[in-house]
Amino acid sequence: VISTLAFYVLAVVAVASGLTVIRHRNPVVGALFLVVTLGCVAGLFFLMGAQFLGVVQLLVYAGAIVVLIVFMIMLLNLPREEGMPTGKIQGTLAVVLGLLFLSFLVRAALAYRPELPGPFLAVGPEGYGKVAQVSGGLFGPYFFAFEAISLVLIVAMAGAILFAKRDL
Amino acid sequence: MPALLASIGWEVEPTHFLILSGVLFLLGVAGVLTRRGVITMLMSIELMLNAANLALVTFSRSLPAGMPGVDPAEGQVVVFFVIALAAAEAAVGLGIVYALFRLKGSTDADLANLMKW
Repeated sequence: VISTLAFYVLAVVAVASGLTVIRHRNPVVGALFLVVTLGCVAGLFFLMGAQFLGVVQLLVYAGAIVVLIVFMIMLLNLPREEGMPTGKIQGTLAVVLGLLFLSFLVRAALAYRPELPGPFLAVGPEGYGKVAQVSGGLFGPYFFAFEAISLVLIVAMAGAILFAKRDL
Repeated sequence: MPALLASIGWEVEPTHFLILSGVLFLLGVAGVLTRRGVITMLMSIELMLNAANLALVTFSRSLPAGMPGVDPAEGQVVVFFVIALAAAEAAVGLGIVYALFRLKGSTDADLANLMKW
């Protein structure tokens, strides 16, 4: 019952703050509510037992990415009016197409009925979400992908420096 | 609608997580489509990546354990990669935002028309 309640609270808070992210005119406020949404998703990870991913989510997303975004907003000293919603036609079209797409997603989600050994949040696979399990995957079958990620990070770093350089 | 609600039920199932993930993804899509500020669009992209992560963790958690060829670590490894790629994307994206701001003095996405023929 506690986990059911926790799920609904986290879900409502995540959606509400996500809505604020895309609606608020001041990007700083949007970034702060983005932290709330990411924290709620991390809480959902914990709820499902994926502890390692929850911690990584908090560290990397809330700790690094959002700080980078806030830093950039303050560096650019953006005016409040930045990011005015675009024209009415585009907005309504986005809402209509979005709801259509959402109905497809909900249909697909309703069709997903896996056979579970017990209540979803109570009984999980053995050792699920522990660091040992994730690292067993990372340094086992996905070792080369893991190394490729480090290459991607280096390339991204070089690219960011390249973009920010004053004269090339 | 009542039939839909009845089929979902009160007890939390993987379906609930998937629907929540769909809603979060849609929020991200709407943000990218309706906003003009590049930074807000970047934050919406982060929302979408998070929704995908949530769906991936839900799937990996609800896999039937002990079946041959099924590894609950796989979904989590993919989520780990997505988080790492999101960090790289944020770095490059903010670099582009900075370059755009330096060239145009604003972060309005409509001003980014340098590569128009």
